[in-house]
Amino acid sequence: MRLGSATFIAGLALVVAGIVSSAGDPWRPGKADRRLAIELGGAEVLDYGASGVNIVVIQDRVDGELAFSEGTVEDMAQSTWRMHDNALVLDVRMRDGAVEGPILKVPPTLRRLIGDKMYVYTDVVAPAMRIDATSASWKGDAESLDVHARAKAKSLCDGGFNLVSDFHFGGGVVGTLRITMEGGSINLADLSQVGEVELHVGDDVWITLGPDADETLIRRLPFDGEPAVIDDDAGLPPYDSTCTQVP
Amino acid sequence: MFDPRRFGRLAAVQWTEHRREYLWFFGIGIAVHACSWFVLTEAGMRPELYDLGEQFFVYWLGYAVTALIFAGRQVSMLARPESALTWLMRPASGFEKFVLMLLMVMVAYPLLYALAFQVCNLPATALAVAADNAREAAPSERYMGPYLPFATAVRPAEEMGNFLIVNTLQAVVLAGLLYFRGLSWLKTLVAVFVLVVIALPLLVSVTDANPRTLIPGLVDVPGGFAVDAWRWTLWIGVPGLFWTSVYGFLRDRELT
Amino acid sequence: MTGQDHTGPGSHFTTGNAGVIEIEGLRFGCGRKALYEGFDLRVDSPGLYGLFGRNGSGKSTLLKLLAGLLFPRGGRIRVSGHEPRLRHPDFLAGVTIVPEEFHLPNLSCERFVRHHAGFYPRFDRAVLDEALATFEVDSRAPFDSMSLGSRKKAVLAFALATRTPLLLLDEPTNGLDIVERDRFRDLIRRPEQADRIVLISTHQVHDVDQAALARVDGVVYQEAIGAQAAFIATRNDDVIEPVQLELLYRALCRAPETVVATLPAKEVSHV
Repeated sequence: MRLGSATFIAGLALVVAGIVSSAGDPWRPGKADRRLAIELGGAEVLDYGASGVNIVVIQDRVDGELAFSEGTVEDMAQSTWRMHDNALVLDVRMRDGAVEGPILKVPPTLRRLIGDKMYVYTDVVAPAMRIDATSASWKGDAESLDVHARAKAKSLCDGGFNLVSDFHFGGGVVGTLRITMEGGSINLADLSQVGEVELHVGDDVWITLGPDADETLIRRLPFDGEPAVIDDDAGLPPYDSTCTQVP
Repeated sequence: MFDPRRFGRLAAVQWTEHRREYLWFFGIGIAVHACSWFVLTEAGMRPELYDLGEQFFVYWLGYAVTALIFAGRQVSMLARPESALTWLMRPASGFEKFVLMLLMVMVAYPLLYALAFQVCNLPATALAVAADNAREAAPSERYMGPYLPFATAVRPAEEMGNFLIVNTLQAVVLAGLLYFRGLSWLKTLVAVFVLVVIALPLLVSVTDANPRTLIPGLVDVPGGFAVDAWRWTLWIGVPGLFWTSVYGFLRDRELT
Repeated sequence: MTGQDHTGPGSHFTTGNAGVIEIEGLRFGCGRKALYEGFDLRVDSPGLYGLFGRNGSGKSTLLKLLAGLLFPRGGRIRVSGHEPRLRHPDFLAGVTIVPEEFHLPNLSCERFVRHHAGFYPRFDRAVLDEALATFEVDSRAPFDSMSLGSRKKAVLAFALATRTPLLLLDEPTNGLDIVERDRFRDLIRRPEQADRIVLISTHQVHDVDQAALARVDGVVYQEAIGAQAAFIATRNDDVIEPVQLELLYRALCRAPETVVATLPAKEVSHV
């Protein structure tokens, strides 16, 4: 066989091998065991977004494996999931900064089943967005804290995309969130007013993105077993409405 | 096998003989871009819609389409026996001719496309910004500045992924055009359609695969060195093999 | 069918700068049609060689095989020590081929020469200028503005000026008027062309007849399936009359078996 034909066939074979190797979750050895460890009692709807963008449904086990049926309003095919360190990881695709994406709110029962780690990874298409939270509020008490932050999405800033991309609530990234008071809302950055606030596993952060209230996205705090601490002494730069580079 | 002086002469001949064709190509491309902008902004009535997201879309869609056509045109002289004879008999090695083709497709064209894109894009974004500022309502929060590939910090991994995918497809198209004799464009399009549009998605579906995880940096996939090595093997190996096949077909090309 | 090996006196000539053509057991066909089966040929002396045959007999194919544009299905071809199918740059710099139909970019002849002459180490500008002057071709005019004949003359002038050891011409006088044909025949016989092997595929026996010719060293006759081709080797120190060549050609086409065995030069006139 001549060089051209041989290398072309080899290239095709490598493509096929690459695709096959990306089937399911090939990157984690023993993943099947972990999946099997997840027992769900029945179909459960995780949640819906306030904007109704995506619906993620966890169905019952099918053929011994956890199956996700991702009903979609739009752009649902962009969402993928995988297991990572015994945690459910959902890839979320956002558009224009953060408008789209699955809204994830895991009921406590499921949360216990999955484990204590959950990440939401964002995968932003457009770079136009930067997020500066402009207000925040929380509800609940120290045992069950819901933080509601109102953020304003800003553009015109290099690196804004990266901010959004990193704006998942894992690995302490939440500490980079700068939230200032606006319109009388409670200022997260000024939490020192009420002392140190501990955010516990399962706590929700609600962030409203964009100028319109209906552009809502919920982000989940890291379920890493360690409470995330937000205080005013995190060494963060002061809020700059002129769109400074986000660290 | 490779003589820089002879290669320079080859490149000079290539430029001399094809410069008009290149200018026409880019001229048409810019015109099409202008039309795309007109349509995207709802027939020019709302230029403020042309934000960074739209620019990103237009840029990469335009690149994918034109880069494949441009690559294919690199071997257009082989479509006719008369011009094929001239090209094949030009005293330079097959490797030199291949390297010239590779540089044209992988280096020169992406750079020229990026420049040509801005010819239309800069005025368009200026119009978009002006329109956005002139709105009675508060200016939108969208990013209206010009999109610069690999510089606007959009998503370098995704941009690199796009580039590599298009580059791989360019090699596939070239290999097809060199392999098939007669109606080579049509046969190549059919083959690419069967492969890329039918077979590969089918394979992805059957195996429940997520090829996005194969693009380094695009999706966060744990796994350490082995996984990274495999991903880079794919992203260097696949285009590398297809480009090698282009060289092979080029070297063994007969005049039919 | 097997071809016949021809090794006449020409095979012992001093080659000088000329190339050497060696073909052994060549097999080639187009689709199911076999053109060459075990064809042998050796040419190692400079000179003007005619390649005659009926339409479809494989004359142009042989030129393309020698130029490395087609690859033999079997057997061996070597030109000046190179295997043509590899298209080594040194080989390509030593071969010029003028096909019957050719492509020229939309450049002036002057610009074309400026960019292409460097590929050929023995390129002779004086030969080019003389040829262009003889053909009355304006070197500043773009090719696209030229008639077909003028473009052909420009290509022939360039081919003569390359002075490559091997020059392959496929129907070179097609498209030329009578005056230009005579001029071409004059140019091809200039002393500066004498150290080349010039192989001409033609139906015009006059293209090769007046070379300071040549007795016919012999004939290599190849009969393939439904086609005939004849290779007539000439040498520069004898003369063969056009009418003799024409008679030979006709005889080959009509009844090749009559001449296939041997063709001593002295017997040509009896064909």
